[in-house]
Amino acid sequence: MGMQNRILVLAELQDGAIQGVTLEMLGKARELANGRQATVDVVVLGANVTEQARGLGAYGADTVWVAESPALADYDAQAYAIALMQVIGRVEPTLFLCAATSQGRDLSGLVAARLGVGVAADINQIKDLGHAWEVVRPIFGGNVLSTLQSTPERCLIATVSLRAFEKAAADAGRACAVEAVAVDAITTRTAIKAFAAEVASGRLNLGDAEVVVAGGRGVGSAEKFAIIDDLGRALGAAVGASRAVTDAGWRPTNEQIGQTGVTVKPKLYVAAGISGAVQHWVGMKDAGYVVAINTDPEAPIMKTADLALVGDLFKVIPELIREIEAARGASV
Amino acid sequence: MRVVISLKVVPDYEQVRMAQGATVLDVAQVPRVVYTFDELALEMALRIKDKNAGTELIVVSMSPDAAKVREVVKKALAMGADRAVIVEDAAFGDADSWAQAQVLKAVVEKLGEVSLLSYGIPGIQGEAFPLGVEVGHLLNWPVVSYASEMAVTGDTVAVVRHIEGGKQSVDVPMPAVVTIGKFQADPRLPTFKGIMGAKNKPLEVWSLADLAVTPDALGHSVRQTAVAPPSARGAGRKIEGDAVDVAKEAIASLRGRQFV
Repeated sequence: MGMQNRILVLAELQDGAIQGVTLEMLGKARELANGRQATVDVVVLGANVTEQARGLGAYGADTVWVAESPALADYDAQAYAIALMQVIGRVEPTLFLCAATSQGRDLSGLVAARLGVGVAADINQIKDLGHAWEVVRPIFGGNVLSTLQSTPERCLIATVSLRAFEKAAADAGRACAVEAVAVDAITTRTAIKAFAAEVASGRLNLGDAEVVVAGGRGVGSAEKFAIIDDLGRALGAAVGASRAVTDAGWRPTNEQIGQTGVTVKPKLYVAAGISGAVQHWVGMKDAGYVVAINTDPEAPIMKTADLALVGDLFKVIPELIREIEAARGASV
Repeated sequence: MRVVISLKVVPDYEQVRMAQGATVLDVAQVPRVVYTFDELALEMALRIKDKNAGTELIVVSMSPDAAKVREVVKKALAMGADRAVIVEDAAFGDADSWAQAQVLKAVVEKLGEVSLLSYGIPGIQGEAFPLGVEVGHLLNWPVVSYASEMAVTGDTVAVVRHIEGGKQSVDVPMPAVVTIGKFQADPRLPTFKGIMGAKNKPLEVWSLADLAVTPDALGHSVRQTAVAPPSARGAGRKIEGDAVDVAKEAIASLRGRQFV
């Protein structure tokens, strides 16, 4: 495959809607493209996506490639890869960005395999060196930041960490070209049977939440976990739990925050009754501000929290809620 | 049914630390462990073997030095795997996933009649690139990733993928590659009987020459130019005392940051 001075972004969709991370990648792609007179191409795959795709022009896309078909309504690795490779063949990008999500990781991997290159995963910085790209990504669970440089003659494929980059600002006057991608020949060997959505009614989505409150083993029982819900309500937070809690069956597994659960990146994270074992830490270490409540001042999480409140959560949390409500009352 | 599980042995990331200001990372002395998600894939495969009589489970591991992974594959044999293959070559020291994918493809082809290849989703362990779906492409097999449940019926694998937003149920015909994500289970412990039995199970060491994969094929498309520790997230402020006072101080702090 040749290489053109073009940056390609794979739009991330969930439930047919373009996700915020797409605008984050677009913002960075536009910035890089401006620096080297390159163009920004975006590929959108799905069933009813043309209007949304067109809207990406306002966020910096020069050309949007739309692969639209009922066959692409549900994410399927093989089917999406066929459509995507058509675009890759036409665009021949020097840089290909996907979101660091299950879809993004799959598709970047499938493209990488076809191009015979590796993938730089979970990048949170990217720089144009002129002759090559330079990216930074965390390795060893975030304990090391590794800088990579691409090979000059080869496309760099990277998956981008959520919220690593700023979203592109909208410029309503900006238009883009829309190219349709042929989808007739797309077949797949996998059969999608069902999708069970997990956003519980009335609950904020943990992965996107700006404020998260989580409870751990220290809460003691399923019934007592209500106090964590109370604090969550007071702070307008999504509520999560440590693995000990979900293993005990006090909360459903989709609320587990940690290495084998959800990764959260909120501005504020409040952990009550959680010791902070590494497997949990990995799921929330990128939180902006961490508050921990624990009777044990030596618990791992208490040593790295920005604010470590030593005390019994059953005494501290009601007081926190009282203070929050007083503060709200005062500012009304 | 022949099932192959690939086990990566990686430095234990929990013990990898760089001091502030350090520019060199030496993981040679860091204890090695089996990559968590590969271990979950092994447990998932053992459960499939439990439910499907006649399943042959083969574990594969790649390393620059067979001795480094021998204990790992022996433990897998003790847990219930039937056969182990170690592929040994110095090039595995810093091969990227493209290279590992090519080797795994060659192993599957040499073993022959493999119905299912499985390992963990790409991870955080410090491999130069994540080994994910690439092998499926090389084998021209369908790939299903982020499996949290898996069941085999006839020639089909029913997979539940735990992904953003919920759980997707997918059926895929074998042979297939399935990568394991949030499988919330604890890998079984080897029994005494298992450990004794493992001594008699085949454990082979292959070279790249045995696989007809040439060292030239193990290229690199990016190179690491620097390593650094993340900026220190040191201890913050501790507040203790009466719950009322603790709460007052905490909320005052959060108000200052506009969280309340």
